[in-house]
Order: sequence, then structure tokens, then C-alpha cells
Amino acid sequence: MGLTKMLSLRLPRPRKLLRSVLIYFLAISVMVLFLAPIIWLVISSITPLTQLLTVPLKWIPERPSFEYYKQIIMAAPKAKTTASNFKIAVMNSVVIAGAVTIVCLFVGSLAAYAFTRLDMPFGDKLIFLLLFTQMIPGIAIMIPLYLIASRLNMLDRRITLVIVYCSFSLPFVIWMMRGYFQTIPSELEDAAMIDGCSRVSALFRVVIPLSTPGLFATGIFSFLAAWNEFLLALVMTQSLGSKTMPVALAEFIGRFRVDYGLMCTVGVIACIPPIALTLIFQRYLIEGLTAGAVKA
Amino acid sequence: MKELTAERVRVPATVRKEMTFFERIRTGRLTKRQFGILLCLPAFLMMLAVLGYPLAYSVYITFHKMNIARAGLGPQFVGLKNYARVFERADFWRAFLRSSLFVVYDLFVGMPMGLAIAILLNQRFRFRGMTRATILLPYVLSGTVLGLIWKWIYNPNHGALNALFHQLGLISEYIPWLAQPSRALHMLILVNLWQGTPWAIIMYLAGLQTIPLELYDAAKVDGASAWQTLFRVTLPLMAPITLAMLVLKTVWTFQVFDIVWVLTRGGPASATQVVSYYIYYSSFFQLKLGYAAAMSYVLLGIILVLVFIYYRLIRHEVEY
Repeated sequence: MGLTKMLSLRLPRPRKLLRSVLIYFLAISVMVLFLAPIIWLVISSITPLTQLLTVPLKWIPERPSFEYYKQIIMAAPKAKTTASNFKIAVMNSVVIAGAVTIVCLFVGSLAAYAFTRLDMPFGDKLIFLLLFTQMIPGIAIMIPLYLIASRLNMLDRRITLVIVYCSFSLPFVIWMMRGYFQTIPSELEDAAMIDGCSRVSALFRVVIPLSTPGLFATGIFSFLAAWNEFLLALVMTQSLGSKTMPVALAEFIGRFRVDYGLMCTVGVIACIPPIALTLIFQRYLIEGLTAGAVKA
Repeated sequence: MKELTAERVRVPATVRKEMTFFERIRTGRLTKRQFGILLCLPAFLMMLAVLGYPLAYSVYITFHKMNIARAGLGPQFVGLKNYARVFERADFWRAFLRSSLFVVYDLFVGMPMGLAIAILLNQRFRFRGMTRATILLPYVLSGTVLGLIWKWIYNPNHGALNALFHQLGLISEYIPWLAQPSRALHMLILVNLWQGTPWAIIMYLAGLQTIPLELYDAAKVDGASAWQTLFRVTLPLMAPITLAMLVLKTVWTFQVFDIVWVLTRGGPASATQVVSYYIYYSSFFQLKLGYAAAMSYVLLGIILVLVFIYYRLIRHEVEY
């Protein structure tokens, strides 16, 4: 009697148990659905080629090898092999995406501050205009941008992509940072200014440090957007000096004969920054994703 | 160090009138509004140069034959010919319909699926946070990488999809997934759904969390069943976020380009030429810049009309 009573206390009722089993089952299926392709990419990159091409396919490599990773990491920059070219493209992407993030956050925060605190002429209308720019498909300004850049001799240069990506992200950055600045009570700045701070130093010493989460959330988006962008990079770059990772990747996949193992390794390396950022800054990322839409 | 101060330095009104804007920047005597304009200047100059000017210049392009391949021959005015061509030729509209199919699947399969999964992940269970983070991964990856992943999975001879289906006994022979026109288009749509649904899940999850728990308690007290609660409480409250998502999804999906470029390059036989691919193809393979620019304007116009319709539709829904 005592035992059954104890058991019935410990065990959930059958209906509840069924429910939680169902939830776990469905949640795991969803995870598998969205993760399996990425995991398969990683497995393919460490499986020796001969084993990768066997029919019927074996799903788990018997002897994992990191040969391809070594090949890419050790590639001499001037070797002109696929691996070395890809390495250069990754470096270009790092430089471009990094520069975009810094410039965007700086320039965007200044503008966002003006919109929140300094009585801007047509403030509301300009903010609405910023939202409108998000509706413009990149393809619509691809042609004029190409023509303008070619006339200014700006094609095939990294700085061009930095400027272009910055302008693409700026509306979002201004919109987001404005939201964060609004949450900071203006009394804090007033206090700083009474204590002898100028408005500029109040901005940099009070407002910006207080909106670090916002800077993170916004910065990640600018970085990812620049890291992943393909169409304009394809149009605007040509040589190794400025080609970004996605362009190099697409070129590599487009070849007639592809070394599948190397292809998958290249894919994994291209995934590392976005995946690392997502897992580390998950909270900020989700905040940034949903901030605009949920409030509205 | 000279700093730009607004209120701190008191300037007599007479002096203020005599100084020009640039003098004030130099001497650091700016009104609040002037200082605001100064702070906005870099951002707005950039956006004007990269978004505003090109958009305006594009209007000029649509009325011209650009002749970029023939040096020395400048742009030639052709009036409305480029627009006429967009409306006369079936090519653009075929590409537009293909893209629309992507949008339809996104809105009618991807978003409901996203909501269903969001409701699932909103239940209490262990590892919930981890599940949410990992689900976001397909969304943050570059389209070219997704293309690579799926090109490898769809590979006719060594791909995982064929191997899996064969080992499960679902197919007796390996299928070339991307070789047949209609199938290739649907395989691309599948990739697009796989990439887009995580975003919908995260958005809906955030939306679900804004619903006050008291509403659910009230429904329970009133004796509502789980389905009734879903349809009468949860879904109506998701209307505003659904509007925002409809708009963004439509805008984004008409821009799908990377996965098409990597997986099929518009083939087989132009079966997967979606609208952005077709515009790219017309500009940089056929060098018909005027025609392509006209197409992109027509596309922008259609998108704006759709966005307007969504606003109208949902506004009605919410205000009952």
C-alpha cells in the first residue's frame, strides 16, 4: 500500500506522461529536421573520399580524417590552389564584415541618438522612410550601383562593398538603436551634463555604455548580413583581392569536377562564424530578430 | 579639446543670428536641432549615395538602352519601350510566377508550420533553450552555404537523400532530384522552406511569450478546451506579428537568389529561373540593363502593392 502510494506520487499520471513523451518526441524530430543537413555536412568533411563515395552509403566514418582542414589552414597564400584562394576570400570577408559592423554601429548610433533626443526636423517621417528602405529588393539597385561603381572606378574593391553593406544595414541599426536609447532615462544624461559633461561625452560615457546589449544585438546582424551577402558581391567583385567567401564558395561549387570532401570542408569553415555567433550571443540575436515586430 | 556643445555655452541672440551653420560647427555653438542634423549627416549621406541616388538613377536607366558592351556608344533614349517589353514578354511573368510559388509555400506552409513548432517549443520541457538556439542555425547561414549543403544532399549518385530513401526502401532507384523541371523547382522550394521556417518559429515564440498568462487562466475558468483556447485566444493575438512577418517574408522571398544560383543556375531549361535570377541573367549575361531595370521597378511596385494589401487585410482582422 505504502509503496504504491509513493509510486503514484513520483510517477506522473499516464495522460501527463503521454503528453510529455509526445512533446519530447516532436521536439527531437524538429531538431533533427533542422540540424541533420548541417551535421551531414560536418560528417562529410571528415570522411575520407573513398568512403564518402561508396554505395550503399555508410553514415558514420570509420576513420575520420581532418586532411582537408589541414590543407586549407596550411595553404600558402600565393599557391593559387582552391584551398589558398578560399582562404584569401575568407580573410576578405572577415575584413569587410568587421569593418561594416564597426562603421555601421558608430554612424548608426549617432543618427539614432539624434532621433531619440535631439528634436529632428521631420523625425517621424524620416524614421518611416527608413522602414520603407527595407522593402527595396537588392536586385532593384544592383544595376545602377554597378554602373555608378564602374564609372567611379570603384569596382572590385573591398571598400566599395563595405560602403554598400553599411548603407544596407544602417536603416536597421538606426531603428534598433533608437529603440534601445528610448529605454534609457534622459535624466541620466541631464545629470552628466550638469556635472560638466558635454552632450557628446554624455553620449559616449553614459548612453552608449548603457546600451551595450543593443549594440551586440545590432552588431551581430550587421556582421551576419555582410558575411552572408552574395548577389552584390558577385556583381561588384572580380579578383582575389576583393572576392568574398560566398562568391568563392559559389565559384568552387560551380566547377565541373568537384572534390566533394574539400567542398564540404569549405562549407563547414564558412559556417563557423555565423554558428559561433549564434550560439554565443543567442539571447541578443533573438532579441534583435524579434524587437521590431513584437512591439508593433 | 573643443567639443560640440549645445546648451552649455550661452550665446547672445544677436551673435547667434549672424553666424552661419558652418561657423557654428567650427566654434561649437550649435542648437539642439543643428547638432542632431550633424549627427545624422554621415548615415544619411551614405544611404543617399547607396540607396537613394541609385534608385533614382535606375529610373533613368529604365528609359534608356544602355549599350555598355559597345564602347563610345552612350545611353540611347527609348521611352517606355523597356516597360512595354516587360509587360509584353512572357519571360518576366513566368519568372514572377515561379517566385510567387516560393512565396505561397512560405506563407501557407512555412508560417503555419512555424507557428505549430513555436507552440510546441513553448511547452515546458528540458533543453528548451538549447533547442531554440540550434533551430536558428539554418536561418543564420549564408544562402551559398545552404546551396552547397543541399546540392550535396541532392547529389544524384552520392547524395544523402537518395541513400536514405533507398535504405528505407522508399525508392528502388536513385533519383536525379534536380534534373526534371517541375521537381527541381519544388526541391528548391523545400530548401527555401528549410531556411525560412526557423525565423518564423523564433518570431512566433517571441509573440507567444507576450500573451499574458491570465488570458489562459480565464479561458480555463470559462471551461474552454485546448482547441478553443488555441483558436479563440492564441491565434487572434498572433495577428499583428503575422502581419509583420507576411510583409518581410514576401519582400525576402522575391529576392531568393543564392540557393538558385548554387543549386541549379536557373536550369534545367529555365525551370527554376526565379524573378531575381532572371533579372540578374538579363543584366549580366544578356546585357539588357534597361530592360532589367524596368523589371526590377515593376517587381518593386508589385511588392509595395502586396504590402499595402496585407495592411488592409490585417487591420480589418484585428479591429473586431
